[in-house]
Amino acid sequence: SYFAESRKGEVNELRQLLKNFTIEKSQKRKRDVIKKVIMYMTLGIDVSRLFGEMMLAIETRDLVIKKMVYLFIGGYASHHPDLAQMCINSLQKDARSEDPTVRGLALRALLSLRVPQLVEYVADPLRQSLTDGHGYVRKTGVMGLLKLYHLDRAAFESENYVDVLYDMLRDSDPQVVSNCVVVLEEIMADEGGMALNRPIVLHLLNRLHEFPEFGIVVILGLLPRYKPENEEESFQIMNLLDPILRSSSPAAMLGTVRVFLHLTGGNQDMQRRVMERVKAPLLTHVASAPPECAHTLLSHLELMGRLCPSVFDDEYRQMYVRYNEPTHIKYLKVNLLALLANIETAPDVCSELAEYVTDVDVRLSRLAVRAMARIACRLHPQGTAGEHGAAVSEGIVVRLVEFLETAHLTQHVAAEGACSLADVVRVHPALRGHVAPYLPRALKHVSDPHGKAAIIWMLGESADILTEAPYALEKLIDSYDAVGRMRGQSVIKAALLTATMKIFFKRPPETRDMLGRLLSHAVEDVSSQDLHDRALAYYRLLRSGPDQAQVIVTGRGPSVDKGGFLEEDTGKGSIRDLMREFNTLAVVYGKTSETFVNEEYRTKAIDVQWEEGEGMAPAATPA
Amino acid sequence: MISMIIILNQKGDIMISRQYRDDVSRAAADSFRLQVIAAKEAGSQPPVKLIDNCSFLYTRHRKLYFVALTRSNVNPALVFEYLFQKIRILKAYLGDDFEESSMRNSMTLIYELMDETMDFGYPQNCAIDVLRLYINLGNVKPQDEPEPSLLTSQITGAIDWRREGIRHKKNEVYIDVLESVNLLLSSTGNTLRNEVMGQVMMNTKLSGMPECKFGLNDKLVIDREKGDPKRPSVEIDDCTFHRCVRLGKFDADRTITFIPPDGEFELMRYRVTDNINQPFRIIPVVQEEGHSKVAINLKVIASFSEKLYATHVVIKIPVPKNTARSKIKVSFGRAKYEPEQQSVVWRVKRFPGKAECMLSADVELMQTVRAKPWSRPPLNVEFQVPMFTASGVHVRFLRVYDKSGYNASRWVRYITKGRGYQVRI
Repeated sequence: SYFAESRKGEVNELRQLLKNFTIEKSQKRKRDVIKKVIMYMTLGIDVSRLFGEMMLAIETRDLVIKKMVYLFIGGYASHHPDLAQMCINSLQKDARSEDPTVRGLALRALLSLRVPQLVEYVADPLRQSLTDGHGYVRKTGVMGLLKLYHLDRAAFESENYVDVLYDMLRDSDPQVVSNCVVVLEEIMADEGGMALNRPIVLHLLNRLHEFPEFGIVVILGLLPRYKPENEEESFQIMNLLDPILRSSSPAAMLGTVRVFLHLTGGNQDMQRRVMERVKAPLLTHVASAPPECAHTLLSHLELMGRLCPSVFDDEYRQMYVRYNEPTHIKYLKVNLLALLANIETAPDVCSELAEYVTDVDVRLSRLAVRAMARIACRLHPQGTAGEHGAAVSEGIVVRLVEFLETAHLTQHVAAEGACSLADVVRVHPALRGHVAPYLPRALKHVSDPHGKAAIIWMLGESADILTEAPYALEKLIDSYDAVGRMRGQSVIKAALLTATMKIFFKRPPETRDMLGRLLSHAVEDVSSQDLHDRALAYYRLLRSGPDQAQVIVTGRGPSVDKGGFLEEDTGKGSIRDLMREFNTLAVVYGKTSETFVNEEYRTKAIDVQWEEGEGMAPAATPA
Repeated sequence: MISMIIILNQKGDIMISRQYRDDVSRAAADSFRLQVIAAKEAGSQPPVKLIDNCSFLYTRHRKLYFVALTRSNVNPALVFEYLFQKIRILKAYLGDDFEESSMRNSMTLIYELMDETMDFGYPQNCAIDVLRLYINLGNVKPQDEPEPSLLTSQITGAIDWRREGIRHKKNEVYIDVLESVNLLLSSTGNTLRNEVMGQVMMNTKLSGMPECKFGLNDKLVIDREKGDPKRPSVEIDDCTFHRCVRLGKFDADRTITFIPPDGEFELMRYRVTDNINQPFRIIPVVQEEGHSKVAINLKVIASFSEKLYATHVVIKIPVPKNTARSKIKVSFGRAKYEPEQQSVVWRVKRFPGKAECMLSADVELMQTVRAKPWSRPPLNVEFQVPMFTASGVHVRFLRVYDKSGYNASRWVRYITKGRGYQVRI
């Protein structure tokens, strides 16, 4: 095409400019030429043809030009291993330069070549860099070792670089030390990371305040693998780290929390105290951090709230949604509200959630409805909160029923209300009485398939307390063809079939006829294979003997006993597994790392085993 | 570790891409463009996106996307901090509101920064002051630079946020105490949320390596000093500090001591939830009269001292989408219906303390085919009150000690801003 042609022309033009490069006097014009090449490189245009010309530009004292040429070489050397050989000499020369900045830069460039054939030329400068007088060169050299490790493992292993790295942990420059740690961690990932012993840990901890901000996080990341010798040492470490909770860096704060939770060794009482201690700083960060960080922090808060219920309860107002927040923050906050509400705060929380139900964002309003149902499930007497809880959850159920009545205004609210009520009834069948009388009316107005199916299911469960239950369903059966034209018809039909079966066993004389009609409709229904099969199964079951069919159809599964928690509260990757990956992406995604990280990038999980009675005694307090 | 950092413009074109590992390719940028930018996900979906086992962590500055790509289970808070720091560095070099064009012009500089702040996917020293020292836009010829050995010792070293040998003719410190008030009132007037987020910003122009000691009227300190019990003090719920502050010292006796970076930085943040003097009281009455009219009556009372005044007061009163016309009366300032905001916006440039101010508006609605209920979003108030802190925090002292024993002049300003000031109607 014309466009590609003109680009090609431009590259040739550049080549022309580069040819004149050596005789060009003006520093600025020289830079402009190189800059242009880099610009093209960024745009994704292949300028590798200029490799030879760019090579000539490397002989300069201008650092800016040098850096650009190094960048270019790093980008294209692997395409032109033969040409890359040409630049080795100048790079090696630069690596012996008097200026440490140039030494460092040259070294980095040498190792970014990523050409296995050239490894032999890299070895010498690399080895020398590790004992260089300047921290800048040493820190670059340490990272260089990691590059070498990935480029040519044999060359790396032929020298005892791992030992060298351990020795360099004593380097005077903290950046060198923190680089050593990350390099060792990556090289030894298969063994679970670098080896830790008491002297190493104490050495690093004693110098902790020297490390630059990212270095602190690196060191904190090591500690969850270290098991202190005794309780006193645990306390010493905790006291030493305590000030970091005041750091302005959320990553360092979360890293400290992780170490604390590790040091408490699964002792629940101590864990609770740690949570109490970190609550204030965590909330300060949540309130002041940019939304991206707040998202990470809230995900961690949710995990901590699930691990230690009730610690964060009194701060529920912090989770009230602000109108102009990003929606992903709103969603997290609504879920947290459901988690933090307790018997005292539930009425407040629910009135707040009710505000979000009218929000224009459909997902938010659905989540708010669902959150209310989760609170109702959790607080009912079978749950954790006793008699008073019954009144509270009944109050919530009444609100949810009100949502059913709004079907003519906001269909999604009514539908979500129906699904949520079905969940509540499933967990606490005793609450049926508050819902049943409104169902027949709602059945008419709710058109969302899942909402409708939920209502049908509840009708099926309420036949013993609601006289008109079978008649509400009969209307649907009579208009079976009309149901077939509805959106999501198969969900509705399946619910209808099951519900009618259940009602039949409770009130056979009234429902015999309608069940017969429904079965014959469904068996002939070609719209859904599943429905057809299910109807046929029911039919045959009934033929083989109604008593047996009753046992199968109305039999109750084992009751769900999770202290009234729904699956959302307890499932979603077990809390324990996620705690092990605290302060990583796993918590943000809500799933453990092996589900989203390819095998070669995993660090082998090493669980520090705490024996019975070990860890910290509950009576002790950190100063 | 991070495999690649890319900076994209609004359309999703790559402006800068720096690859640190070869396990991702530029093609990954395409999937980000399709699945995040084109899908208009930013803001509504989490800022972390998983595509084919590659995680994209992103943030935005104006219309630019800053994206970090990784294939491992990284520490997300750390990656975001790195991205924020990157933006801060670019602001320092290119100006606070840098954008596409200013970036294109300094492409080489940005690559230098990319290489210096991260090596093989691991963040390195990102202190602006130190970076600025040796990545200079290329105006200085390398030959003329001072002793190279001196330079490089600054790139690393124990105090990585300040270089040695800084000289200022005038030694000055500017302190800004910025507070932003979060208030959420329910439609019945109950306070749902009431807190102050404070920031102490400093701009130091001090020579040498000065030791600073800084004090607020922190209740814990004042009580301990057993000073005048009537002296106003503030209960600070929690605070965080810049890394130059000696945290151990603060935990021991709550004194704030540090060697500051040169120039502007955020010394601390704090949060206060008790005894807050809300600068404004707002009493709205919004009534829907049938389907065709909404009547708004609003009373705003400034509760701060009459010696002060608020500026940039903007009150946004939401009205339904189908608003046709509005008749608005205000006692001062200007108010009008702004369709693009779906609100009646009332602006007052200067709002005196203790003043009381009224707005009444009759809003006429257009007839719609299907009457949809109005969601009644909250009323939003923005303002600034100079020389006022809602929490009552004030600076008690700032002492500067340096070997050379100079006297530094200090300037303190206070300002309270209304950001999340919302009243439900």
